Amino acid sequence: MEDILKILNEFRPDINFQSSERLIDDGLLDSLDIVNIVAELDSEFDIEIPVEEITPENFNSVSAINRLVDRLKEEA
Amino acid sequence: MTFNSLHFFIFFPIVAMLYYIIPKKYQWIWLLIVSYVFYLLANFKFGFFLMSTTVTTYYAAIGVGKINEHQKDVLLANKDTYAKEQIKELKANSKKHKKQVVAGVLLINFGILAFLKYSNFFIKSVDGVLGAFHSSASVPTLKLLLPLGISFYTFQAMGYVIDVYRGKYQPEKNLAKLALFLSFFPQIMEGPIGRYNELAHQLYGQHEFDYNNAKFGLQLMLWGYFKKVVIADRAGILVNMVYSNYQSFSGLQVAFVAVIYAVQIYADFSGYIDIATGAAQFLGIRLAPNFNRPYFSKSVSEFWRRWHISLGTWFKDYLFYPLSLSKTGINLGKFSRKHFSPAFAKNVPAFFGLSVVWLTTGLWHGSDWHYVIYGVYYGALIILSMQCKPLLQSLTAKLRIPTESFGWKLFRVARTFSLVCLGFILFRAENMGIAFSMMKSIFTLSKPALSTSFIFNNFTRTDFAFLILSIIVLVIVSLLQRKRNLRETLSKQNIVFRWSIYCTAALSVIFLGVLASNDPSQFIYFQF
Amino acid sequence: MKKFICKSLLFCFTMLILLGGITAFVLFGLPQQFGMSYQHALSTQYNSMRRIPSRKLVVMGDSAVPFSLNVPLMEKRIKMPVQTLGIHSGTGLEYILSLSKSSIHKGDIMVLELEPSNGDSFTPSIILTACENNFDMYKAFSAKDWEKAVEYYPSFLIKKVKYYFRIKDQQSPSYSGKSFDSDGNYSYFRGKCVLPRHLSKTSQNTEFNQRDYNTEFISYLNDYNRFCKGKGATFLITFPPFLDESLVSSKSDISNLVNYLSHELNVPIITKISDRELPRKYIYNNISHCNTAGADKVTVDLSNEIEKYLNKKPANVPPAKIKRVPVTVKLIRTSIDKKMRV
Repeated sequence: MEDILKILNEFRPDINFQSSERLIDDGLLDSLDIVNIVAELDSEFDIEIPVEEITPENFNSVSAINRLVDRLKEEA
Repeated sequence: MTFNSLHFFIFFPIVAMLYYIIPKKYQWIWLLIVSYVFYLLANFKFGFFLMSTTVTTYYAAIGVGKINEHQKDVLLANKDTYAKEQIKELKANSKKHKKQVVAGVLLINFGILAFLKYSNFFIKSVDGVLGAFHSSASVPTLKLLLPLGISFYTFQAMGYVIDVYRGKYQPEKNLAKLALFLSFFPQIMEGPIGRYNELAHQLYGQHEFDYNNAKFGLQLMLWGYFKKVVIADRAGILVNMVYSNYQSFSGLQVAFVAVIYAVQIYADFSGYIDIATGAAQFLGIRLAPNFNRPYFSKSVSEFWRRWHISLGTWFKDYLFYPLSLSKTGINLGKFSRKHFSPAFAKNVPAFFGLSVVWLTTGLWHGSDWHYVIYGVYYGALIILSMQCKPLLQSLTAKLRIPTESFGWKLFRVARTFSLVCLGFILFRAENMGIAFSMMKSIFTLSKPALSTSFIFNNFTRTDFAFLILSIIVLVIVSLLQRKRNLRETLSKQNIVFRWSIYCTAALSVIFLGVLASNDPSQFIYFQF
Repeated sequence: MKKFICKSLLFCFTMLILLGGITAFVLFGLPQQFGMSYQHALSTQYNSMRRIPSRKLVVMGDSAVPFSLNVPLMEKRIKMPVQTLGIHSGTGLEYILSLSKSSIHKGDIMVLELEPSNGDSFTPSIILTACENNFDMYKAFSAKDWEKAVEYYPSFLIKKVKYYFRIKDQQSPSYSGKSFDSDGNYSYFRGKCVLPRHLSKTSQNTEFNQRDYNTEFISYLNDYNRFCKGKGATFLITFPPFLDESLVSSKSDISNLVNYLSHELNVPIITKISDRELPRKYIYNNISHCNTAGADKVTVDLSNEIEKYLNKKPANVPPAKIKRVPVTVKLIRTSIDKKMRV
């Protein structure tokens, strides 16, 4: 969870990720951020986040991202 | 039939009234019939292309669905016997087959679109190259028919297939229902590009007459007509005259007309979308939003999230993400991390996606080089702004600029609007040379040998006055829209006020509208 | 839904009242504005034609007709009243023919300077300003014409308001209301040819092509011929003049066309196309517009062709005397006309 937070902060140091549950819905992260973050997550955790998983449910909060990453790690 | 022909004023009321009179379970069939009538009345031959896209899309999606089902059956049957590797192999196989089906249908449909839209562009470019080598060989251009709305319904269809492939929803089993999804008359000509999961249940569902939907829908249509016929068509007269004769005008005049063109294309396109959205709303169907007061954007990226929204999101979901997160994108990122600064490298997958998306966006708008440059222009601006963001942020901090102040926000809006107006010169000018000459004339504030007035026999002082007046109305309405839902606010006012507004708007459309016999500009996005 | 239908009907009714009120005010509340315009001549021609009590010759067509007809000369030669009916190709020939129908009487000779036409040439901006409040002329509209006129009508009303505020279209001396006499016959003096040495290859061509005459137009002409015969009148076809330099069709194209027309039309064609091919000295400002000298020549030729045709047929009707409405009445009418043209 901390490594995910580190990655997020690397791209958007201006956002307080811990306090938001609506990162996508509130427009805090845009498509460019998503791409950068996903590319980094793929590389860091050796997973492949497919495009269909890029949904608000999976990216609205740090814990949601964490759940996604854990699930994909297991399926790999 | 277009939205601003007399025929539509007879067509739509009949369609809408019958829609609510017939038994509700047949409403979607009625919509399918009238949509095809609407489309075929424009040109009978277009029907062939629409139907072929519909049929190929239908079978491709069904095919993908069958592969999924087969995979599920096999897994269920061999639940206890398959090892992990076998399951993985089965899934990989299914995925491969699905990819082939989807690739096939994408190739066919985008292939048709590309051929009809771009082959003459390709041929002309080849001829240009041959000419550069002083070759007398030349390829003759083809006489091709470009079906109306092909760029829109093809994208809508391919989005549907890709969604089915991604497992977002099950394929539509009824060919007629899918045909309605792709031909629904309010949106087939100029969009908005719809998503199956949002539209399907609305199109096929049963609708009760709703007074508010009817009222708001008609109001929106009236507003759309006002924008299109009073503002856009009138502005078009001035814009056409200056663009075809820009050397006779001063830099300041060209700059003014560049702004007027931005108004024209917004009024024209959003006007058409309002008519479409209003018509659909009358029928109880909500179309995707396509404009969100785009000229109030503070950055170019924000502009493209507020202008032609359905196209932007389509490119985002079906081109930008898949490309940036593809093996190529990721590998480019890894490569850059090794060889370039981390500040640059971290953005590389996005840059890769953006470059392709903006080239494609430019091409989508037209089959000529200046459209490509139009796309490249915005791609470059967005990539530059991404890369320079930290630098600019530190600069504004150093200069102690109050970034939350109204003045700074106004500056950002003005800056974005200016960039957008410049971009539209690339879009509207006939070729690159003219576009650059016009921009040069603006930036050097050139003065022609003989000064020329905007006023000529087709565009009198009164035309100019009405244009300015109607633009002021547009600006006021846009400003009011920031804080409130105008149609609801209007409904709360007293009846005299409301009806005065409706009657004034309708009379303006009838009398101030530039009508058919005065040679109106076709809806700008018509031949896409 | 009932509430909605009631309210919509009420709204439509309100709009109709508003539109009707505005239209009535502009049409009748404001004085007539287009009387001095070039196209107003069509209304003058129509009224003049209706007033002719005796046998008459009416020459119909587009703008070639007023420029190629010297009416006093024709009247002297043909010994009956002569009326021009035509001002501009933007009226479409079908409308002109339709307009003439109500004035056709026994013994009349209706001559058409034939050009290709297809029912689409009807231009509401010209016709509505030509007719203005002469509502009789609206009776000659076809259904398609009505559709165009209705679509254009709001613009017509706006145009009239603009004219009221002195925002007028520019006119040139040869294309103004003053170029016509009080019977709507063209009387402006035209001297030397003013066309450039080199004609435009795209817009200044004279073509004679069978393909330009569609079957609808041919049957329209045949129907008109039947109508004339039914009234005891004669319908004849001639051709407008054209500048020899502008001709792009070959002799075989021309003879193909003439054969086709002779075959398909039940109407006598009294002119040879080559007889209307004129050199520059007879042409004025358009490849089919004559100057005054050219008009005299064409008038003489046309009168000979008509005489020749008539002499072939037994004359059942004695030759008409040139008789129009008495001068005093004519003067009063002229002054009324003058008053209308503000």
